[in-house]
Amino acid sequence: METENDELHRLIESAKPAMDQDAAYVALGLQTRVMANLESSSRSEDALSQWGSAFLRGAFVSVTVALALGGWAWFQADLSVSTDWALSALVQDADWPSPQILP
Amino acid sequence: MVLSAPAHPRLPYLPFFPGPCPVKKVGTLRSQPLPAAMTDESSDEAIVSQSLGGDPHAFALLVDRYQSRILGTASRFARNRHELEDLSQDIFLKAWKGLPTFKATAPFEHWLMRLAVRVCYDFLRKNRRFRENEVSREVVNEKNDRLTEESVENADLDAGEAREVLQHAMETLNPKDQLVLTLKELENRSVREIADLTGWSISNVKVRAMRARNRLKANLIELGYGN
Repeated sequence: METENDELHRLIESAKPAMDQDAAYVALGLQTRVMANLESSSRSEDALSQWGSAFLRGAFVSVTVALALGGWAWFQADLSVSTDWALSALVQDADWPSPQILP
Repeated sequence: MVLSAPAHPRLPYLPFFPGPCPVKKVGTLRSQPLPAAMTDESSDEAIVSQSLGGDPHAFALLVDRYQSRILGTASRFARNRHELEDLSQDIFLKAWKGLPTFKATAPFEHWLMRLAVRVCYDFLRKNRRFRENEVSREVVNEKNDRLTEESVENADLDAGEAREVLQHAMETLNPKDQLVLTLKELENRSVREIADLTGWSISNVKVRAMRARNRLKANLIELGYGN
């Protein structure tokens, strides 16, 4: 057991310098790269949020216009139906002579 | 009729072009000089609150302050410099985005290290399938033969070879086992620390660490390293 532990421990300790070397290499200029990354990420997020906002605004305007046009069309159609109905009712209720007895 | 003012100096004016986002974004970058009060000696909390105001220069101080610790941990998970660079940048990018969730109830370093461990774990999970597919069976066998020969010929591997053997043996473990082994064996963290960093129970960490260690040993024996 002791030998196995020592062997694994030795392997791990042998591997560490290579990892530390990579860490030291990447540390050079990491701050600059991170900040550049943040800048570009923030810029793309801004653009995305602006276009998202534009999309929502466009969708809102489109829906409003569609509703307004639809409402107007429905009102017109309904009004014409109502007018037709009122006129026909008026004609039927009127005590006018039947067309057959007209000269 | 003008519906909105020009939204952005870089972008052309369009009638429906959006103005600035009405929701105030925390952590949006803006270029302004670092306030004179903000120095290397400033507390983490002061720098964080300055960063939350959208000051990237303040965040740069945090990057500078913690990059060695982050790289120390991330280097145990990455296989090469490119992966390490991506991983460390990802950690700091997520830290920047997650700053609003930082409550000053615990030190900033603890918060950052927990985040780093979570990002490293995600990295292991995402790369598992990729790593499995990356190396064909033939290449694995060839690699095993070479490593076996090397270990037989020379028990004292150099750092690069030792790392290769270790990584090869680790890659066959599942991401949770890799995480706990890396934190325990490579970073020499205590069980309590690992439990704190991962959010697992202490008993879970103990059991998983022991099983993972046994699997790692078996894998190393298969590779011809150890008896």
